[in-house]
Amino acid sequence: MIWLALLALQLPPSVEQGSKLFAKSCATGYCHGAEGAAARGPRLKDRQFERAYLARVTREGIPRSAMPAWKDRFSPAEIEAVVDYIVHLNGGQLGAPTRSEAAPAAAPGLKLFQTKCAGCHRAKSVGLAGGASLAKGQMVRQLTLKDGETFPAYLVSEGQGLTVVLDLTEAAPIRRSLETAEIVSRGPAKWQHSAVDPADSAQIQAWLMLP
Amino acid sequence: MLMNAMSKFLLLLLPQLLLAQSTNANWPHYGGSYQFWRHSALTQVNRTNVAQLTPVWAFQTGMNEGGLQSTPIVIDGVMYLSSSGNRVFAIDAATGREIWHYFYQNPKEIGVIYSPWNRGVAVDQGRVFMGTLDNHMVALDAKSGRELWNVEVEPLAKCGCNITGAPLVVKDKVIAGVTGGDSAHRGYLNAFHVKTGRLAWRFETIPGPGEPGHETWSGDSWKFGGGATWMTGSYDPELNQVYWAVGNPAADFYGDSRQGKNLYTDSIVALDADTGKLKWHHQQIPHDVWDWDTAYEAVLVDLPVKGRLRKLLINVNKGGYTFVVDRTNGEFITAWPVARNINWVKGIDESGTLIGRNEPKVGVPTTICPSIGGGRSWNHAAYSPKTKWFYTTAIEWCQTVTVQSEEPKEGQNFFGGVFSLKTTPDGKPGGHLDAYDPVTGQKKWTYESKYPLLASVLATAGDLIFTGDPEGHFFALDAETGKKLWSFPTGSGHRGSSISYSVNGRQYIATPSGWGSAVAGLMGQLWPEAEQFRNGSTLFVFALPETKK
Repeated sequence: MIWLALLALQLPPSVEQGSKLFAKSCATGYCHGAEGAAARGPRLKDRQFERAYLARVTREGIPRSAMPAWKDRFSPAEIEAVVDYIVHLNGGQLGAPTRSEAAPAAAPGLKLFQTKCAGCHRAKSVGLAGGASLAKGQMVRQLTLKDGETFPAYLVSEGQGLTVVLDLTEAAPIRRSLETAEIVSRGPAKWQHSAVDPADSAQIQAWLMLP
Repeated sequence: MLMNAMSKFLLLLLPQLLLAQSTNANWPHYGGSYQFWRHSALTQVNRTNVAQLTPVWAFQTGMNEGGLQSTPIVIDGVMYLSSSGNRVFAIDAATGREIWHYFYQNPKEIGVIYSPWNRGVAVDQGRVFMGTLDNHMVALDAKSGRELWNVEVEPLAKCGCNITGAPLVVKDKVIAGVTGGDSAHRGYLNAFHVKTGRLAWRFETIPGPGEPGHETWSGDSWKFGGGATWMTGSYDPELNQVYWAVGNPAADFYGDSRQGKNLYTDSIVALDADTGKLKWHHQQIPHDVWDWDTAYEAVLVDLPVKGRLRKLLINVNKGGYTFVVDRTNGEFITAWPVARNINWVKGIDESGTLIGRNEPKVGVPTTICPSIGGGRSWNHAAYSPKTKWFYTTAIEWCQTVTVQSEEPKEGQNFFGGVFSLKTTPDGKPGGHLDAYDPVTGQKKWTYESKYPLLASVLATAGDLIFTGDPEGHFFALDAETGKKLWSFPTGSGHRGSSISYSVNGRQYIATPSGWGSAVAGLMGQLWPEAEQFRNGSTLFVFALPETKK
């Protein structure tokens, strides 16, 4: 009898691993609280979640919210362990892991694109809305305004008396909406794209090629 | 001739500038005035008639998640209101009619914990300025809402930070802080040119190699040491200094890998408004291991200290102490507690040094009071020049902290521990709003609340103090006695900041109603019913009934 009780107290290995991952990643700070007791993030303890839902939200995150996608930070096995732990917090049956959807491999090129390119460019629905495509030969012009201000700019759109440009004076482009009448000239610009590390370029291209 | 005309004009303007510490018809800045008094000089609504206060219009933002945490700005009868998800509305401040709206398009993936709320915009020179959840700054045309410029401060995935606080416009620059104090990130404060959006200056809150203060970080810890600037600063036009409060070091609880004082975290910094150069700093908590953000408002007042008029700066720290310094040079004047349950330190001596630090050890669950939610949360205090008192809320609650060693991963959460809320030793957790003499810390009165009070305080020259509670009551207290004079149920808890303004001679009191935020979420651990408190996002506007003509 005593042996049985001890066995019952011992957590399955995946739950044990999940509890450690949860404590370091999900419970911290203002997120889900120790043992999922709730904080900024919702309470996870003593609730009835479907396992598939937990797995999907852990993997993909929740759009436009503070809940990140963990597929790039945890391995598929680690995500399963975290889910096992949350199911355990709910006193639920663990059962066999039911990972039917293959978790996509993390794409380092995506992060590179987000941190190095997305301020000006847009590809695969990532990056600045109205940003330049990655095709070569994008035209950059030297704009001069009525008040004498002059700067290199990429033209995003024009119409209804407004001209939207990317002001490329500094490393971070500034999207500016100008009254077209303010612009007195659009000459050739001396501006040059900053150098791209070939290794980074290869990884970004690999990401672009992903379906 | 020209110089003569200029100096005459300046002489005429000077008293105006000096008197502008209280607001009048307009509510031009996030803190009311540059001095952050959150005090209105209007007296039409006062303690003799506040009981007749009645709602005149309400405005719904349609974005309930995260509640409504902002401060509206009012200029010449137009209100500018922002909500969660970076929505901005221009509203006729007398009628509630929408003039325009601007919905910022945030990317699908935000994934940082500092979202989805926004705490306000800045309006100046015909422009509306807002920081965004994906760490951009935008400028809008105040008349039409058209976007004039939009610049990314730093990629979200890299810094794990964004902008939720209201910017501050000083002359031709708009200054905005960033979140990220709980992320592996090196904090900064940015000033942008109002017209072009170009970066004018950047103040790094953690000194880099070769800079004074860099030696207060061991190893490479400075690279990911936090030091967020997530709230709004204040400005002294006479000294031309911008004051900003710098938050906690990261990791929040685990300090072994960042030995040293960790400057300029948990400090007030005074910067030259034109260049962003550091004039002085005062660090409240060297080597913080409790997540005591010195991030809140800096209230600028001139009051006698030991018989001598001093230019002071008052700042309530999340650890439950109020620090008072001389704002010309950062000299420590005094510190006094606002919370009753404080055990992370035994006291603070006359030089401002912490006595008897209670630092949790790695892996050992330790009871710390107050909780990470703060001896007070960020919601702001008010100062009344009439009573010369400082009005602030405070919270009584504790927590069990377990510190974990942690390695930083750029842009990702970096807390170094977990916590669970606990009740206080006397078993009476809750909140209160108190009036203090800010120089002595002497308490003048207390208003007790069942739940933590998480809305800012508004003071008016009508001898009134306004705030709201988590259950949705918006209420007025007598500024001299703390007696409740009026209350109105708005239907959702209060987490934002109320204001007062006037249009065509009629005084209005406006309050955001809408429960949400990280600290609101924490409350469920101590008060399970708080998990059921209703979200919302509505601005309520009150006035006295119009007299029949």
